[in-house]
Amino acid sequence: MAEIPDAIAKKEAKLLSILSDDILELEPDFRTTDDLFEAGLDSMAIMRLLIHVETAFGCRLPVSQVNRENFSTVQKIAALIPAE
Amino acid sequence: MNFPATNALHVKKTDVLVVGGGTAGIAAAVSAARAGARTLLVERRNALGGMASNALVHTLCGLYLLRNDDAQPLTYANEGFPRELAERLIQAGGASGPVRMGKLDVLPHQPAALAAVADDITRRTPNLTVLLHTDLTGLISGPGQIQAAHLQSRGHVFEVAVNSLIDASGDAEAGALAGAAFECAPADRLQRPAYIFGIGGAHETALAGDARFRLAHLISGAVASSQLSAEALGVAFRHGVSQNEIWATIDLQADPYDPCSPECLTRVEACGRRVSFEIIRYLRAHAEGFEKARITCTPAQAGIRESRRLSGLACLTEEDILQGRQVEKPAALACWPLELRENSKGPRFRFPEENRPVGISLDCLRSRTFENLFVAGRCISCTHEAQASIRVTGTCLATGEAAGRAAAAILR
Repeated sequence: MAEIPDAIAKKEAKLLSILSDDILELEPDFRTTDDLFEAGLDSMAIMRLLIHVETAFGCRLPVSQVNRENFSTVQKIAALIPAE
Repeated sequence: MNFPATNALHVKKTDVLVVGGGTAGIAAAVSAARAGARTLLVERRNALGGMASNALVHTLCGLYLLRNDDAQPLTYANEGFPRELAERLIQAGGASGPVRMGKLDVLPHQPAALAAVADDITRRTPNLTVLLHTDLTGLISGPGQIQAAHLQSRGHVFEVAVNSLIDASGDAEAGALAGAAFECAPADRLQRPAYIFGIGGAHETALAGDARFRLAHLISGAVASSQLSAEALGVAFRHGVSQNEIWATIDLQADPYDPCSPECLTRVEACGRRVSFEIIRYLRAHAEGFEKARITCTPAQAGIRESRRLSGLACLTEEDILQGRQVEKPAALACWPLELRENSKGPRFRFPEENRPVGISLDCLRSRTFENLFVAGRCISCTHEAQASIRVTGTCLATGEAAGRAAAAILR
């Protein structure tokens, strides 16, 4: 069953707040479709992000999904996280 | 008081004393000696190069002007000694590049090669004496002037009279010992330290493709399951000059942090070593390409990014750098963006307008307390924010060269 848009938006907002509170210095107008690598995401930041995702969403992303393409925007990372 | 070994040191008086043999100190000493001043350079460790050798920092940053894109030609920000050292390193096979990393151009180098090149340059410089294994323990000063320095090595204490002194200690140690004015950011704002170690024996594809992402996944899982300490989350891997060599850099939060406290430094060094060996053991057992990996070198000291800043006749600010402000007759140009590492969030870069370099005035290299005290390197007179730009090697070399010339010039 497709995820409802509200649930997706909620997930993206939660992820964006994790990123801006604990991982990166993001501009206030940073959007869920903006490039995270341009904003400074690197492998060290991804390590910390994976731990936060596990705590906040209760899921551990499989290694096969952790790559540059899947982690380039908040929207793409959120799509990897299963619906709550 | 008995000074039984005073006669063991031939140097009793020097025109210019340079304290600290990091890149700023090397540049300062060579430039002062070339300008005709009898110069003494003292370094407490066994090798010149400071962070770029002893802390295993393995890329020289701030050598080249910022470029808007790859099509623009690459230009040295400071001709003179920064360029000379970079070219000597490349000729000696101790550096390869420059390479472009994101929006920045850097020169990857071998830390040990930089120390060897520095040995060679200083040995061939007339008027220059280098003393390794030698520490500054105190300064004698009169009104507005530093008169002599107490040096010590292996239980010997020496007194050397000086005409001028260049503090290239990185921590404004000479300034602090002399009672000169200095500043230091609050502990929670200081740029965090890094512990760097070398890895050999990994497969040459160990970092290829998405391998860094797989390593991130592996290490985060190990930290989450308490198989690795939380500090391992600060690690990043990068190839060295040769593809067989990997450098691991652990950014440490190190709270409570005080880079001038021996208790804190002891804790930082021990933590860096412990986590380095934890990481390599874990990678050998679990990471593809790391099965035969081993630690090839640990640093003589952790990488310190910021501590004291000497208060000068002028003070370089964040606005100066972000606006690329020019001064009349700049002593040096700084071109690295503000690279803020005040917490474990990793670097936050702020680039200057139109990528313009900023001119550093000689007044930022002169103590406001002592007329004959100069400063070079990461502890020049600047704000905490501006220090996040000027601390890089290219700029340290340039301020070192300028301070060396200025210190030699006041003799005449």
